[in-house]
Amino acid sequence: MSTEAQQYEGPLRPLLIAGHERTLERVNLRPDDQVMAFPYMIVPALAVALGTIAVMTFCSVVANAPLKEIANPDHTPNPSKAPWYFMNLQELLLHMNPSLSGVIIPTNLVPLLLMAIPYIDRKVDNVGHWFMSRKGQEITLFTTIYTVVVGIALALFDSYFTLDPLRDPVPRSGGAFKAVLTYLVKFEGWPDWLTSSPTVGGFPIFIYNDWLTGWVLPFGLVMTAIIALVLIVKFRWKGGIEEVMLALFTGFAVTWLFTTTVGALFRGPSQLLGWPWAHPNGYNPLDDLL
Amino acid sequence: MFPFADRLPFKPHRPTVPEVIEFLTKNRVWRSFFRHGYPDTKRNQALLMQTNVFLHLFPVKVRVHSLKATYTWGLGLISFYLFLILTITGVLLMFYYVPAEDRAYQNMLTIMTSVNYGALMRNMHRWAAHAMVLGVFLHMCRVFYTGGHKEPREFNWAIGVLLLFATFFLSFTGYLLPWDQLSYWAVTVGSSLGQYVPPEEIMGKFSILILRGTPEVSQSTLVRFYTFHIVALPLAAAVLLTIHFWRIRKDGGLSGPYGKREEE
Ligand code: HEM
Repeated sequence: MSTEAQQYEGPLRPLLIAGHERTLERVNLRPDDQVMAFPYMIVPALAVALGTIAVMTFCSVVANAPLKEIANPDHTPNPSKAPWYFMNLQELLLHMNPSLSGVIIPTNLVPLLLMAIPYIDRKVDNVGHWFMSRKGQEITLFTTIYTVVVGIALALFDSYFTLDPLRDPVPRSGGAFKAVLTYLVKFEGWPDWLTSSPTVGGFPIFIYNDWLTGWVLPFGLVMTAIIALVLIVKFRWKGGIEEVMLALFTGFAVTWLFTTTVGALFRGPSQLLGWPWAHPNGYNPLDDLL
Repeated sequence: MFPFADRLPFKPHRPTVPEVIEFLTKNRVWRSFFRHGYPDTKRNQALLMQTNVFLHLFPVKVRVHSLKATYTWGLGLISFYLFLILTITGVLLMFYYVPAEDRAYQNMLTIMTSVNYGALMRNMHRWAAHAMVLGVFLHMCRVFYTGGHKEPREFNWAIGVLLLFATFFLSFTGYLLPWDQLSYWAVTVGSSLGQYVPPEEIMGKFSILILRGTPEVSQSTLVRFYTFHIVALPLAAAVLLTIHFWRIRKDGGLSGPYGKREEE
């Protein structure tokens, strides 16, 4: 057996080292030792190609791609859902001003911040180690749980407080903040000028100012959760920029998955929250999924 | 065994495997295709990598660590193969699909029911598209969590972000083509976001028109999405992929634990 085959650690290893395990134990492997690209990289790469084709063929034989009735512009399904990978957007739309959640965040903020990550975090000591270190693993796990908990809290907040639960139960951007503000304004003890400000439909007019309830409050709430996360990483784990970036990216990725799941499965007719198996009108979210 | 053997000018015999291989490869035609011998020596293995235009994107030697299956999980590679599968099945689907309001849906029915292997091709195209969105997202996570985005790979990470968006838009533009209730309303919902491009009073209507061609999703939208889906976006993705792969090599191969460590 060649020394190369001994150093090779890829998926073909069991084949190549059969019978040579003992010899190998004595060889000191260094991760930056090099082997010939053919066959050690090309052959596994071709094996992955065959595997991909096999899995895709299998899926295509067992399950047909969906095809519903012909498009009918006069018949709007309720709910109308985007493709699953955009349901995170659709979910975000319920909670803040649509310019912010539908345009600025997905087409500007997300790509620019993602691209900026390696320019901000320039520490390379831990490259090549999954989750960087022990500390990194703990931070990733913590951030995952933190993000899901905050996400559930925010989603419930927005569906629990609505302006008028009986007449207007449909969640809409900033609605929860409007509702809470309305409640606060009706609360006894506020100065007269606040409670007697001009009203529309019985509600003080400033509550309808979308700048406050669609932009500042929801974005501020999310920013507060993000800043709290950064502070926790800083103080609990004495984290540097590397750890902070790890937490922020994890927060982003988990939010992506979380909002996608909520939007895809937990939103039923009129975008109301519900268990995936118990939506009204027998709506099955899986029908709209793929 | 060989009739008339005695009348032939040479002595016939059943050729052995090495003789057949020699017959096939030791001639000027084969030699004009491949300028090296069977890759069982280092020299021929190196020549194989260097003389093939596709393999030449890869280096002749790679680090052992980058071959560990639990390092990359093959996710980038799988995303790329899915892209190839989508290209091939997509070309075949184009033979039977016309992007017209009054024909598209009918074409889909035909593909699913009466074209030979039509259902297989459409299923594969659809499932591979979903798998690619997922695969690219997971690949991005793998790169981040192993630090593969850090210096000197910042630029390739940025190219990757563009690829992520190209993948989303490829998938989204394809979603409209079946012209059924699912695609029509999903695209209506998705493209309605255009009305919120700030400043809304000026850009809203304009963005919708850019996206849909008309105020509502219509024939114009179908042609627009079709064109983006089959020409513009695949071309952009192919160019980005070329840069992406070339850059991996120019950045010194895949990342790995080659530096000093903070804690051991
Ligand atoms: C169409 C989509 C994509 C394809 C086909 C693709 C393909 C690949 C392949 C084959 C590799 C080699 C290693 C591996 O398999 O993991 C790779 C590495 C890499 N990819 Fe991608 N990629 C895509 C999207 C992305 C995205 C979305 C990002 C990040 C946002 C990205 C960033 C990178 C980086 C930084 C490397 C080098 C990693 C390292 O050195 O460890 N790629 N890509």
